Amino acid sequence: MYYSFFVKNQIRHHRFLFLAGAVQIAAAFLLILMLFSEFAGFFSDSRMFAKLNSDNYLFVNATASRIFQNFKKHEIYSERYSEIMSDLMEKNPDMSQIEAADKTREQIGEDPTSDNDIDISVVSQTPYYDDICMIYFSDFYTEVGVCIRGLSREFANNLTPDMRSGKWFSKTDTKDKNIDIVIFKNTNHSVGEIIPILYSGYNYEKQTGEWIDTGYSARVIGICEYDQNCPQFSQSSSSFDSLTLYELTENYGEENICVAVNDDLGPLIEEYGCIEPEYQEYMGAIIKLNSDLTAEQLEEAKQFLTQKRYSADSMTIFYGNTIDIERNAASDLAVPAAVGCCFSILSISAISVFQHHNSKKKFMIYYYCGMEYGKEKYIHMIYILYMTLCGLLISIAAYVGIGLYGYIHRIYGLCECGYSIEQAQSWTSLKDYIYISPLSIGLLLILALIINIVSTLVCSGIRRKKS
Amino acid sequence: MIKINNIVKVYNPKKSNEFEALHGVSCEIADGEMVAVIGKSGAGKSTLLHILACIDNFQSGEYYIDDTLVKDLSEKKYAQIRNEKIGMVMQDFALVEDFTALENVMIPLNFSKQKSKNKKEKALDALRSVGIEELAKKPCSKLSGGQKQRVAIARAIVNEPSMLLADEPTGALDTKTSAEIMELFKKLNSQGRTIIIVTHDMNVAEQCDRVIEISDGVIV
Repeated sequence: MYYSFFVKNQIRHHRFLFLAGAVQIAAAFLLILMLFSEFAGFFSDSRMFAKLNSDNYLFVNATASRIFQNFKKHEIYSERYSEIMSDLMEKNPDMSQIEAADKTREQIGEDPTSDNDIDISVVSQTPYYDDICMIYFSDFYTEVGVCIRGLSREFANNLTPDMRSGKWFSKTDTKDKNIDIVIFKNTNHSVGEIIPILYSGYNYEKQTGEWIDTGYSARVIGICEYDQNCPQFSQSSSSFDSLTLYELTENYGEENICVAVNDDLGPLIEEYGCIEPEYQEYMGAIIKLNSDLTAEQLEEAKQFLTQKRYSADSMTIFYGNTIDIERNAASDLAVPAAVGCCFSILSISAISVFQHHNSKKKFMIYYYCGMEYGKEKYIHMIYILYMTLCGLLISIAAYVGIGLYGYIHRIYGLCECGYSIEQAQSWTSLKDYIYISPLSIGLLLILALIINIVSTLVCSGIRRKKS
Repeated sequence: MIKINNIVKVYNPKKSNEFEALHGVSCEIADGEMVAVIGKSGAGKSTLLHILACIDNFQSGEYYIDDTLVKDLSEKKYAQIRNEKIGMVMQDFALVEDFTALENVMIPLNFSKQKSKNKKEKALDALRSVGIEELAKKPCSKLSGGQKQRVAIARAIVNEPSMLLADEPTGALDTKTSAEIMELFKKLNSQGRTIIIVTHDMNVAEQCDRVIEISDGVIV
């Protein structure tokens, strides 16, 4: 094709003009790339909980009156416990504190509340009860700072998170000595990696408060597309949403989370006794009722839980609230994104018109020399396409550069706090800083195409007018 | 052979500023002739040249190049005629200033339908024939007026067209350079090319085989 001769010469003889145009396009693309990367994180929460969007899933949480009631029960138990234990130790001065505590518990039993604001023995009596979805805390870590949360099998089966790589838990996973884990965020592990599991809690038998290797290993089977935009948790039970569940995985500000199916953690739990399978997080749980219940039956189940001083809301409300939050967050960003896109298209079209205007005499000469009338728009279009592609590459390079800077800045910050560079690197994943979603690239390419078409149309319109 | 018969050209037809530039112009130019078209400013000589060069259309009449009627053809066909049969030389040289001499001469070769294996060699041959081969790599913006016109002539002949159309080719040149350029045209004419020069310079016209005078849109 003859176009390449003219385009190449035009670029060669006006390098600065070409580069200036490409840089402006790159700046616009960079802005859009950053906005799109933000967008890519949106709606991942609702997608994750899509399978739970059903009336037969209820989100159960202790009401304030139940928490108060438990608190009072706990207070009464503690007073009685202290009385009996003091009495025992007075009467038997040789008795150790541990022995006295054990004897006391033998007499009055375990604390009936024991931090359990959701008592599974009560909740499981709900009419039409089928199963419970819960997140379990544990003291197991894959490495310093990366803790493993347990998920009930029912919960794991119903979550459908976006995966960056690997896969989510499946019912048909073959079991071996390694415990399958999925990484939620901010770890430096890759799919297929086998990681030793450490224990950080205090255990009477093990007599340790230090980090110890449990001898068990975890195998990374997947890495989730973590939503960087996860906002703060609202504790209000009337406005619960996906943030509630994110909060459950947060471990109060800890940034590194892995999840495993709780059943798989069984041997570890048995050996270290750090969590009981029935010990549930006090923030709330999701219960599954039998399917195809009538409205009256659903109401009956809710009434039961209300009587036991639990709030019980359908997961459809949860899902709706999540979608609302995501929609609001997306629309907040959509306006500047749309303005940015329009501005980019207009400014790039302006460059295009300017370039076309500059080339008018050149195109007239081409016409004298045998170019078909109107073909100059293809020369111009290819020129702008080259410029756009160059801009795209520059913007990606700049995006990666900015990400790399952020990564180095983070490592440097951790090192300044006294951590070794190896530790800092193991806590910080480069992918979290320079990841570009295929969706972003796809949208940019579409935008580049629009820019080309718009600029060509604008220029051919001018040509017709001038002719 | 070029033959035009009763050509009428109207600018801005059916508008308030409608203007008839040519009122039924007819003439014949034989192969290998060197013809000057003279006339006062606004007489219609450039309009006639543009029609002959297939860069402008006309309302009525007939235009033949080698017995082929050049009217209502497709844009592709017009472009092919401009590329293969006609070479254009303009008063302001019509060169792409930031291209080198060689690149300028290569322009028509890139629009040619005929596959040319060595475009660069062909362009250098054309530059050699106008005596400026050594300037091939020099940007046109750095050439003198005479050198630029030679580049323009080289570009006009690179596809070996049968007809050269020149619009005031010496208009922007000094006397000495004008003489050199006219010598070049004569040389090309002696090689069998038909040359039509639009000029208002009688010295130039006198060097041609025949003079056609246009006045107020008609051949006198």
